[in-house]
Amino acid sequence: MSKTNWILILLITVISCNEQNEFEYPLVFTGDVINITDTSATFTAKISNPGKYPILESGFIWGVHSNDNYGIKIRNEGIPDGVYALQTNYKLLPGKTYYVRAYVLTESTVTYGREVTFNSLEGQVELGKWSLIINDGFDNSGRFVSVESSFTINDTTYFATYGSLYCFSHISNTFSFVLANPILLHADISVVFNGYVYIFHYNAFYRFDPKSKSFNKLSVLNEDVARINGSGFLINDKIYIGLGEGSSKFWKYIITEDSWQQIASFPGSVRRNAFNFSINNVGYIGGGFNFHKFSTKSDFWCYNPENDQWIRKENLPIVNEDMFDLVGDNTENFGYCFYKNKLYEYNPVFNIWGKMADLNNNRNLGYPHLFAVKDKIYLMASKYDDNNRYFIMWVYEK
Amino acid sequence: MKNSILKIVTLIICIYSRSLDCEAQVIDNKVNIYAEYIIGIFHGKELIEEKNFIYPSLYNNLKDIDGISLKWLYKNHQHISLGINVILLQASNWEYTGHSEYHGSKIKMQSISPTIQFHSKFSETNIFNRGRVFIEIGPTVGLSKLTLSNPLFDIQNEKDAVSIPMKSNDIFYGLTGNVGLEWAITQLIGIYITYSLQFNWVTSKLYNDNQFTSSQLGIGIIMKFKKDKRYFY
Amino acid sequence: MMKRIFLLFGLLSIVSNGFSQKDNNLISFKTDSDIIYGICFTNKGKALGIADNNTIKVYSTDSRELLNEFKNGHENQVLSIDISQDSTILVSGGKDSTIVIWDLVNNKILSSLSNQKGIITSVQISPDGNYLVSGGTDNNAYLYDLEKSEVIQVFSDHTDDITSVKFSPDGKLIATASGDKIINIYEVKSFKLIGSLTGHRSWVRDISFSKDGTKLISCGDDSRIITWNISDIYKIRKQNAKKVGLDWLLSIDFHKDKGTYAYGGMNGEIKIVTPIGSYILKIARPIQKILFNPQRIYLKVAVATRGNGVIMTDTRNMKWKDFSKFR
Repeated sequence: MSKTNWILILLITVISCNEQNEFEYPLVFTGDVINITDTSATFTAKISNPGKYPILESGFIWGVHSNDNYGIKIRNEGIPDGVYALQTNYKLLPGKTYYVRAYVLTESTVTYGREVTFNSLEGQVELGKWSLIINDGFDNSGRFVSVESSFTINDTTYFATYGSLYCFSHISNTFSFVLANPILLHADISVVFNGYVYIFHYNAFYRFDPKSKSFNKLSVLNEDVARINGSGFLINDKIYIGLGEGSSKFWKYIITEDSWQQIASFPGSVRRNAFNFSINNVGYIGGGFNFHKFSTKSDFWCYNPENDQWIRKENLPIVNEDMFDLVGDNTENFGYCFYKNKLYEYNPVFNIWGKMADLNNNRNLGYPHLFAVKDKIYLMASKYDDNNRYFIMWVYEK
Repeated sequence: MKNSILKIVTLIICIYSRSLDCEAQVIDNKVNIYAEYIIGIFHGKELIEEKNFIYPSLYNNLKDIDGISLKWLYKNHQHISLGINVILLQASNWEYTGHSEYHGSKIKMQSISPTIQFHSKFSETNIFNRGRVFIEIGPTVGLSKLTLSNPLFDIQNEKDAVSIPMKSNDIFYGLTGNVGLEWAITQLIGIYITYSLQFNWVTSKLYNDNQFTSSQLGIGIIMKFKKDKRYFY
Repeated sequence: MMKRIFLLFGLLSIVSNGFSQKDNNLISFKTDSDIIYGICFTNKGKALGIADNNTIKVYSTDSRELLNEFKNGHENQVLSIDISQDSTILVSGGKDSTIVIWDLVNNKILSSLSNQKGIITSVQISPDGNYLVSGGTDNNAYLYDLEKSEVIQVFSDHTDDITSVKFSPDGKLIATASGDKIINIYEVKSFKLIGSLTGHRSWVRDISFSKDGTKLISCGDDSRIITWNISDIYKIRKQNAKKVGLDWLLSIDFHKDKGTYAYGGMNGEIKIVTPIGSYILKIARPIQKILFNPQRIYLKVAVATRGNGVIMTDTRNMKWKDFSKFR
């Protein structure tokens, strides 16, 4: 066989003998975003390599944060082969930059495609408005200084303040004194469940019956240290409490069983008087201040009881501010925090804080307290100054 | 590209003019070996579209192609030569506005192409004694070796570290067509210039192109072997 | 900047062609074709025969006037011609596989021989004018009785095209060169093969006997010139072999002066080698055939070229290279 023929055979063999590519794990490409309207967009992707392991799930993760593994998930029904497309599962916020990645999940890995950005269409953002509902002194024999916690039953909101219980009627817009009880001292956590109020004091919950105005002590948290200035939220029939003086531990109190169980500790730094709320069975903790620096913390966390996991969320839009003036609460779908005439709304779907309408106020607000009733947010503040007491309340609504 | 073409044309003028009267008239030969330097560009849409899936093309956004080729041809007939062409190309400088997926990535392509060349008839006396015009066509099969500069995927595993695919070797196949001009400088050596168009199909797991088209300009030297002993009869 | 340099170089190249060595001071003969394969001098060198397409033209070497033209003998290109010593007979052979014997004086065909199957590449008349030898692409050499115009012997020892056939100056030997790289020596009288000379590594293109018959010189595609000592015909030996360049050497001719020969080939270089030095002239076309003019004025050669017709030149137009400088 001639030399030339051998060279040709060698060349062909060299070229063809390279191994074809077999990648162990699935590979997915995120395609460009299409069909962007004022409310929705369509994501596309292509699985270029299925890999050696069964694919359990595929879809997209998207949101307003880049590379957010806890972003909004859209899953495919079934396991597509090749190209797939899904529409956004939440209404887009106007004028925002969004990030989306395709993903494919196997038993041990998750593969993400490149991150694609797109901008939603510009549009009007509803900022809401404030209305002044009470602006007068409060005539009572007690001191109304700061509210430790509040709870609402029907059209009445109750405030636990320094050992006393006051109530406010949303129908008549009037306050009245209810009772005084030492249990109400440091009543930092109070939640309503099945018509009863559960108030935490030192190391146990007390069940308060608003009809009979009686307190019933429930099982004690097996802890020698009394907990004050802590935070807590209700999810289904469980109350999750923790923080306060010198501890990051967290527990859940199962109301229906009257029992306690320790859960994952709070991963952030210890703090007191952090605000808290729960939306869609997820609890949130934010703000609060440490004991030595007395400046507000801006980290913001959520707790998912399904996997007993704390996840850090987007920071509060305020940093190192005076500790006493940051307060928060939530309506059904949004969280809120308020600081010095500024209201911020938290969107738990997109994990984003947005600035709402400013409070038109030129007074120095003392001990502000924020509470929500249905879809309205109330801000209450009072001050006892020499012989002058003033009491003021606004309502915010969209 | 324009500058390169100008340089190539000028070089041809130099060599042609030197060869006009200063070397002996050539005799025909059977075997030509061509060695060529190539520059080229890819053609095609910058974005790949498949159903609603849109992704930047790898090949069509590569701005620089260059390489070499080595070709062996045997003259079977006064108008036909048959042979084989081996081409080594590299492509780089990926750019597409607003995207960086393949930025910094490089491709090396090795291909082999059996070739049939249709050429002008050799003449003892006129311009076709030294000169030759030709058209070539042939199938191509090759290997495209991609090396990524940035990872395209993020693969997360709770327990072990997972290596992200950064390289891919993909077979491509297609057709090549060339047109060209040759000029013999001496009995042994000549020069040539060629323009070729290649169309290839390819499949890869690291990009979404399933075909690529390129046009290439080449300049090279020819070594002429197996002269016709019976050249005068 | 580079662009300009390139353009400048290009222009200089074109312009420099005007100053390159052209074929000045070379005598050329007007022929229809610029590609000539066969030439032959008459005995005294007064006339030169040129195979021009399928005719033979005879020119005066002094005036370059066309003296005679021999037409209608061949249907295709004539590749080889020879003129008898007495300048009465012209023989020609070519692509039509026909040998034509011409009356040189009266310009008529004496006979036309079609015994050979292949193309006739070489013909030569014996010094005594009695025989004709021819060779061709059928690998055979043919010995003809010139008077009877018939084949008297076919030499079939070669295995490839015969490129050149020559009689020794005394007419006793025939040498045949072939594409099989071998030179065969035959005895005319006995038709016997007395020697097969091997030494070339590719086609042997031409051979020439020295005028005293003691040497045979050959050249070929291997770019080699080999001188053979044939003073003892039964002990022929290689006297000298040298490689000159890389191109095919197509023609070689011994001068009457001992030790002087001329050769040329594909690279267009005419070289006359003497014992003390050599003359060189580079022309623009390959040299198909080179012959010394028997006239003894200077060393003068006729050269049949591929593309420039036939030219004649002598050492006055050639560069001299002294061998003593290299000792």
